Amino acid sequence: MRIEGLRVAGETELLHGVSLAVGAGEAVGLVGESGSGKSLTLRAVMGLLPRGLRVTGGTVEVDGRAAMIFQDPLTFLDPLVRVGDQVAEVCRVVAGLSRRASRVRALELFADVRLDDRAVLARRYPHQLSGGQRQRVLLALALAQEPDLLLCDEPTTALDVTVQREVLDLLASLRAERGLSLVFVSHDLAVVAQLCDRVVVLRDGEVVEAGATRDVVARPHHPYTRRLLDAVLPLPALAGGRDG
Amino acid sequence: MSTTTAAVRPSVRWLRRARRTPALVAGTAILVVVGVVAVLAPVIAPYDPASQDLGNGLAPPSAAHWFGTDQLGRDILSRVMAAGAGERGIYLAYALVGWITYARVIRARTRTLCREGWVQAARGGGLSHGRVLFGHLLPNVAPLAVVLLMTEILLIMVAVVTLGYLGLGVQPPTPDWGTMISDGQLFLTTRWWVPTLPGLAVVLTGVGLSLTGDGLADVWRLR
Amino acid sequence: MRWVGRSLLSVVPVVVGVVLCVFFLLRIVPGDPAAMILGERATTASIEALRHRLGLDLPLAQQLSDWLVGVFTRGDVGTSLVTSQPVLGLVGSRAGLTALLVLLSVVFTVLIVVPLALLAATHKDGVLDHLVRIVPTVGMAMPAFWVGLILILLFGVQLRWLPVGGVGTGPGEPLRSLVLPALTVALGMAPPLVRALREQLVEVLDADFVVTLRAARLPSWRVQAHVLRNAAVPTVSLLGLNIAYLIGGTLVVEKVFALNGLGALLFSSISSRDFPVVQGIALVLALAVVGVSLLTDGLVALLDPRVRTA
Repeated sequence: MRIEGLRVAGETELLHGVSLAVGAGEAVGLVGESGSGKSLTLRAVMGLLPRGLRVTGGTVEVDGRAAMIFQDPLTFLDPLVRVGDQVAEVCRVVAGLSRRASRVRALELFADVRLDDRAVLARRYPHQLSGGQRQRVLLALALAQEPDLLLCDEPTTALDVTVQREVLDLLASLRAERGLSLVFVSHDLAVVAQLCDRVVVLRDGEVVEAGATRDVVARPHHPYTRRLLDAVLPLPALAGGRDG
Repeated sequence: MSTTTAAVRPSVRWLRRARRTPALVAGTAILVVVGVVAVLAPVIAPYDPASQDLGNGLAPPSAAHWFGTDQLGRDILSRVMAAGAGERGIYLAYALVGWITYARVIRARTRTLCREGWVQAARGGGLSHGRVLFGHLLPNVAPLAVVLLMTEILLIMVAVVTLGYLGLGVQPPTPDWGTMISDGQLFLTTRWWVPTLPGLAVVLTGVGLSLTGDGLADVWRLR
Repeated sequence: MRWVGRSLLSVVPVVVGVVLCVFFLLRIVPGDPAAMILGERATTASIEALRHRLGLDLPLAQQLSDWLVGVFTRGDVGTSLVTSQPVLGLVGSRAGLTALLVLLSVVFTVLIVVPLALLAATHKDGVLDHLVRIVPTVGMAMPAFWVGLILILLFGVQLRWLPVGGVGTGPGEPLRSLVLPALTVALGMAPPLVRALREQLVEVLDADFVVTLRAARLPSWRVQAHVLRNAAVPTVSLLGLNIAYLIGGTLVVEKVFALNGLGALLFSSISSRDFPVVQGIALVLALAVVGVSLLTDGLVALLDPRVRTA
């Protein structure tokens, strides 16, 4: 995927020419504080801008299919439909499967995202699952679309730390197994650093720094990046390592 | 720490915004006209609402009788104006009953406000109960209270008129919009003005109340 | 199942409350049934005699308990003071028409409110939205009966399409005669409902799960299906909450269109202070309102799993 000079505006301009590139199999982190425009960038790529906002400039190119997962799965899943059926519905649409076949496929995907008691869970409703389970369901929903690129909008922010770790591990292994490209948005530099090869720092709708995670963390150029780093203590290992 | 963000605004700014809200302007204009007419009815009514002219019953609207006459020859326009003043007793009765629902909503809103952090902060900062109540809570609840009041008055008016129509309200010969309509319904298909025009008076007042309520809600950004 | 039991329990106080209120209110309001029956020329003696015969001179508490006992043991809701007919029979003969009118009114209300609210919500802040929002503002100012009169003028007289009074006996009756009355009730209920439903729908339309569905590139109609199912929940709830007002509206409209339903019976009984009849009708209406509330609660529980597992 490649973004060049993306501008998004509503009543005022919110993104002022953001550029970003993700290669095949790469994992790129997008960090910044709330309101920096990270989620907006992802939404613009997917064509899912909220009411009243439009892309006013720049280009977005995606080579292949892109899917997205979100922050607080409780509100991002239809509360009236069983989770298994929700994933199955996507399978039906994407792969044209029959109802029965799509249910089977949904269970397979549940296994891929490491959900235990798949059959039981599939018949539950979103409010009956834990946060971590719901996030995995969202992930299964995304994988059902057989994407080449996975956009992650702060998927771990609403989770406990231990569950966070599990989800990150899951993402890493999925990336390895399927050659998925990832764009991971977070305000937490530590989390991003664990998962991503490269990091892009966003502030007030502009890219202020970008580069390999290792470099950005070791030698930050922009004072804002430095502030973000200082807010993390202690600094965990970089992508590729395992302990912090 | 500022706790007055939602409180009293400079009145000039408010007035300017109020004047630019079409609903509010139209609504208050209507209400003012209705109010003036109702109050001045005894003075400006062309005829005595009770005086009958049996030979001239059910006359269509004309220069002499703008709204025509009813079955007893009474001038409808004068009766409509007189009925506008209304019968105090019945409105009071309704208000006593409707007060409860009204109070409940206000109470709920106040409670919600109380739970918000800034109230505790103000109290913690040493402000007395009275200060918090009048300086902070009241300005936040007042807009909602006023707008709801409009709706309440409207509902009460409609209910009273409906009761009058059903024959359960004000007794004759006091003119009341409701009874006028029900008395006139006999003539609906032949002399449509007898029941319809008093009805228009009701609707007009109601629309005035409704528009004012909506306009106020717009100005105070409650919608 | 436990939930059903709980709901029934919450229903009882409501019905009891209504019945008690009506009972006492009737006797507080000035006006003596015996005097009304005998007319203006009656002597005090004859009025007293009639009161005694009708049991009106018994202490209030006893009147109440007698009546309650009658209701629960014999299903006897009393006898009309005026006509000496059993109240149950009187009510029964009129209830059918009223029930039909209520049903038709509900259908019309849904047909009017849902599309308008949907239109406003999907075009939020647009021209259509503002147009639709005028409806509640103006509509709330129009008493139902006045609307009925206008409809009569329009459809009955000018266009001569529909009957305007009473119930005819031709083909399509009694439904044909109920069309205008039901429309009147529906128009009366529409303003506040349109406003309330529009707000609920806006919430549903902006919901996060819609984003997920669109992100998954589900076809438009599938997304709409999800949205509509979610929107049905507040709609049904809203209807259940407002059923009491709707029934009240039908009672008034019956008078406008000279329909011989419970409304006509109720108002004439109030005027003549026919206590048992008024009490009987109040009981029936309370049960009806409560019944519909339970039904809608059940529907919501069926639709929304969050309510079920609470």
